[in-house]
Amino acid sequence: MELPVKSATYAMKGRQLLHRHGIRAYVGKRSGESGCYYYLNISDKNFAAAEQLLRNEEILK
Amino acid sequence: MIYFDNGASSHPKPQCVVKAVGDWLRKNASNPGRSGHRLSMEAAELVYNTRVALGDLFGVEKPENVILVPNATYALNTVLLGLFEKGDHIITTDLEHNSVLRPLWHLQSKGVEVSVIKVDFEDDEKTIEKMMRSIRSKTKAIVCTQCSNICGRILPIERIAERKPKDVLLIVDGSQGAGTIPINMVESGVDYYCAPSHKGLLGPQGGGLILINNRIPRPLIYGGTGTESLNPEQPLALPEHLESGTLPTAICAGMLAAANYIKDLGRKKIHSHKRALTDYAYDELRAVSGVELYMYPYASKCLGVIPLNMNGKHSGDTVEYLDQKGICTRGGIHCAPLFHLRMGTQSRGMVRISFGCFNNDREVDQLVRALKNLK
Repeated sequence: MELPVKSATYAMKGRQLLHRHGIRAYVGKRSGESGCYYYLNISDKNFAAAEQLLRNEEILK
Repeated sequence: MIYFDNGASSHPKPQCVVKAVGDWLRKNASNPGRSGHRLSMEAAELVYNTRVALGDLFGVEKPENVILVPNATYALNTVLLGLFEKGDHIITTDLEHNSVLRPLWHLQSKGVEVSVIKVDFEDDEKTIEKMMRSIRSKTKAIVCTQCSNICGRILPIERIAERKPKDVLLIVDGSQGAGTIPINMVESGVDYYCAPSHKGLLGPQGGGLILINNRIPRPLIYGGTGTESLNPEQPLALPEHLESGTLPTAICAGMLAAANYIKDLGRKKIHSHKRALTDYAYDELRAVSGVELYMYPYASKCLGVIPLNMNGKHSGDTVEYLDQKGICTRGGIHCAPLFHLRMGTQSRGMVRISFGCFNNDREVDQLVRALKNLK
C-alpha cells in the first residue's frame, strides 16, 4: 500500500524513520492531481503503524 | 608551494572529498529527486544523507531545514531578500563581506533601513551594547559574520542571540567560521546560518547551505522541484521551497565526505590548530622589520586570518612578491569595504594570510623569511 509524502526529502526521511522502527518501505514516484509526488510503499501488515509514525513526524503529503 | 589563501577557498581538499566527487560522477550522474528509477533514488538518498550529515555538524534537528544552495552569497541573498520589506530596520556590522552588504544596500534602495555598527575590536560587550542600543520598534534582524574574512575577528554570536529581543532575527554569515568554530543551531539561538562548502567545510566549490531555525523566507528563484508539477505555486515544504532546479549531486557527495571528515577530525581540534598557528604567526611576524600588523593588539580574539602590509607598499606588490617565492596569499579589499575604510587601507588594500587545517609552523617560518627579505 502506498502513502504519498511531501517530497523526495520526506520520502528519504520517512523511509529511514520506518527502518529505525523495523518497517521496510520502498520509495516510488508517480503523478496525481497536482502533479508528481513521491510515496512510500509499505506492506499491508505494517501499514497502520507506518502511517501513524509518518503522520506524527509530519512526513505525509 | 605554500597555500595561505584558505579564506578564499580551502586547499588542498581531503583525499576522501576528491575521491567522493570523482567516484560519484563515475557511478551515478542521474538527477536526484526528479525520477523514480533506482539511480535517481540513490542520488536523492545521497542528497538526503548530505543534509543529515551537515545537520548533525550544526545541531539541526530536521534535515529538511538544511537548504542546499550554490554558495554562501546565494544563501545570504535568499535569507535577506526573502524576509524583509520596506519599512523594516536591520542592524549589521562594519566587518561584513559584500555578500551581506550588497543585498542590504539593495534592500536599502527599496526602503529598508540599515544601521551599521562599528565592532569594538577589544571588547565584545561594547559591540553587543551598540547592537542593543540600535534596536528600535521596526528592527527585524541583526545580520553579522561569525568570523571576519579580512581580520579573523570572531563575533560573540551566542551572546548576541541571548541579549537580542526574541522578535529580532539573528542571521549569521558563517563563511569563515563554518567547520572551525562549533555552533549548535538549537542551543545558540541563531535563526539563520549561511555558509559555503568550499572554505572551512573543506568541500568543493559550487555548494553552500542555509540552516533555518525560524520562518521560511520567500524563494529567491522559482521553478521545478520534481513535485506538484501541475501547481503553479512553489511547493511550501522545505527544502524544495527554496531549492528550484537540479541539485549538484557530485558536489553533495563531496560535501558529505567533507562533513564526515570534519566530524571525525573534530572542530575543536581544527579550532585549536588554527589558534596555535595564528598565535605563532603573530609572534614571528612581529619580528619582521617594516611589517604593519593591523590586528596584533587583538590577536587573541582573531582566528585564522592575519591582515598585514609591508613598508608602506601596495598589498598587490607584496602578494606578487610572495607568489614569486611560492607563497599564495591575497591582496586588495577582500570584498570587505567597510573594514578598509575604517583602517584607511582602501587604496593599497591589505595582504591577507589565511590558514587552513593543513598549514603548519614550518610554512609560517618560510613566510616570515620571505617577508624579512622583501626590500
